[in-house]
Amino acid sequence: MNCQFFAEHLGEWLDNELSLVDAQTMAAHCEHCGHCWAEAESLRGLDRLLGAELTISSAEIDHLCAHVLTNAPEPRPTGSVARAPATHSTRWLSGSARLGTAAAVGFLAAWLLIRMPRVDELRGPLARQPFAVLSPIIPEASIQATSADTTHQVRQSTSPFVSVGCAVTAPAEHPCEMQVSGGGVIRLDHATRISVESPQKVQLQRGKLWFLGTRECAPVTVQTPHLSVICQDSDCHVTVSAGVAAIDALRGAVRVESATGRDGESSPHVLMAGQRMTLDARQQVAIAAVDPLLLPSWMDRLLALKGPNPELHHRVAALWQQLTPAGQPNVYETELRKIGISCSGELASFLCPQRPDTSAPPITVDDEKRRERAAMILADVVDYDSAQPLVQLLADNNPGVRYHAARGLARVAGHSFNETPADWRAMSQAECELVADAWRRWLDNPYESLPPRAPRKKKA
Amino acid sequence: MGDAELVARALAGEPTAFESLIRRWSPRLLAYARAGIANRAIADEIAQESLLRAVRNLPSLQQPDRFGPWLLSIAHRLILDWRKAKARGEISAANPAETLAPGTECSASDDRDPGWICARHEEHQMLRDAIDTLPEALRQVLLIYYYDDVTYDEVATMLGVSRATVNARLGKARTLLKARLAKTRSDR
Repeated sequence: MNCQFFAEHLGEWLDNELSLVDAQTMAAHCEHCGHCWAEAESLRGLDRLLGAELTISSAEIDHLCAHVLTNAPEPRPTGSVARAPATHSTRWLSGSARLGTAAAVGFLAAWLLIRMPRVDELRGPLARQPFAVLSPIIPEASIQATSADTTHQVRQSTSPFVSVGCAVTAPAEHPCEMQVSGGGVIRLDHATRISVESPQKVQLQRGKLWFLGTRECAPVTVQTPHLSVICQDSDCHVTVSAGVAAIDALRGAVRVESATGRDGESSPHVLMAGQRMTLDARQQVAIAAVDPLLLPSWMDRLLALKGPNPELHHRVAALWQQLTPAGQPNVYETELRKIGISCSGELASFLCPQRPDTSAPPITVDDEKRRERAAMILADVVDYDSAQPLVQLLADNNPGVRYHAARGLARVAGHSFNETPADWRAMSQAECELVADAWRRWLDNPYESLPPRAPRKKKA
Repeated sequence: MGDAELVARALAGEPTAFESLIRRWSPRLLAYARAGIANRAIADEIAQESLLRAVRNLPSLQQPDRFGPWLLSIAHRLILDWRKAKARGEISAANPAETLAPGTECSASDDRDPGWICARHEEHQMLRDAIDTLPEALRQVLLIYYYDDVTYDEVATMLGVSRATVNARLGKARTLLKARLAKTRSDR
């Protein structure tokens, strides 16, 4: 704390906009610095002056209410449409303009009658075989589906079906998911475009496609400019960008057929989980290793919106396992942070399991480092409703975990019960329990425990 | 009772419901209008007109729980219209004398020391003059913050700016006011 910091935060301090910890720091500095004390007193004086001047008295409100109630028309009862009296600003329809409008409406009606498609034509897309159903994850999601004769929006609220023969474009704002009629799930990244050629075949024209297959589903073929990917009981990730395709096998075996050589004969490959195949400009196939954990980050929003689900649990669990110093924990930490608050439940369950596994091997130093990093992430992503596990972690054996738990609670609550997060590293078990108990009571009823906000000004 | 219920009751013809709505939102509406227009009398007229228009158009309100923001948007449009009219010269540039807020007049029947009363009045006038000279953005934040007795976050939401911006503008406004008041006092 120095005088410059004090000056920068003086206004916030006097307006009770600082956290309790920072406010106490400011007060302590003010007691020992005459210059800053004088500045604070000067600002308090101005604040009192402004508070006294810039106030709306009850008399003013009474005056305003009386004027409005005297001059306002009575509100109409519910159910009747009360039309506001026309003002000069709404009388814009002159006589000739009215005639013109009527003529335009008549012309439009005639045009529609002539050009309106026959009833059976209206059923075009719906009469075709359905390929997939839009999943109800994002209620406002809308996929554009274009067939030979029509373009329509696939929406949950109207018709969530995607038919064979359509070209489908995912929304530009977010990824989307479809349940394939024959089994399996297809996810499309932002603005990805596919063409549905048959109930079991799609062509990926641009973007990213993720297919999750099951043992029971029919094989699905994903066609790219030069590669065909056949998936059944496997997960594959296909990317097409600027005419170049990449196929990632993420679970199970993925069969890929490519056209190589002058006579165009196809040569099949089988990709195992963790392998990527690309086709370069010379039509040469290259196979490399890929980290399956880092590929699905564009789907994290979809997973998070689904709420607690096995797929999200497995993803968080896999990322949690990688938070060891031996690997690249920063990379996987970034993935967890992208998932955000939706990973908090899973992380909390790993940090403080409900039923400790007595048969598990002893916790190693790497395990403790992983727990500390997970506690750090948890502290940054939780909100008030999901902060309960942090209280449990206040009594953890690991000082680093206690520190992050206290930091997270201070962020959520805006106060720290006079214990800074750093204090938690050195506190004894008994002290930890005492303050943790205060936190539990606060989480149960925050409005009783917090000190009341000091009145800023007196009303005139 | 929430705004949605009060609106429903007001539309059903319950007079006390409508008065409750007005009283609930009058302070913020007055703060917003006075922050937008320096002349207090005109600002209060705009607040009155905003409420009258809200009454007339209440049946057309699509989201009754958003009565407050809707009311402020009416006031915002009226403020903009007034500014445009003033810029076009349709409104006299000479502002009428501001009416003092009730309770602050120099009253002959006041038992307090007349010298003290007039000194207070002079101090208030000095402060109002200094506030009127503030840049628009700083003045707006200052007036809304004090008139409405809200937090930084609430001001930020009302004005569509960040909390840091509110903090910066409020600090700058106070610094400028202190300097101008000190200069005015030294000049006298």
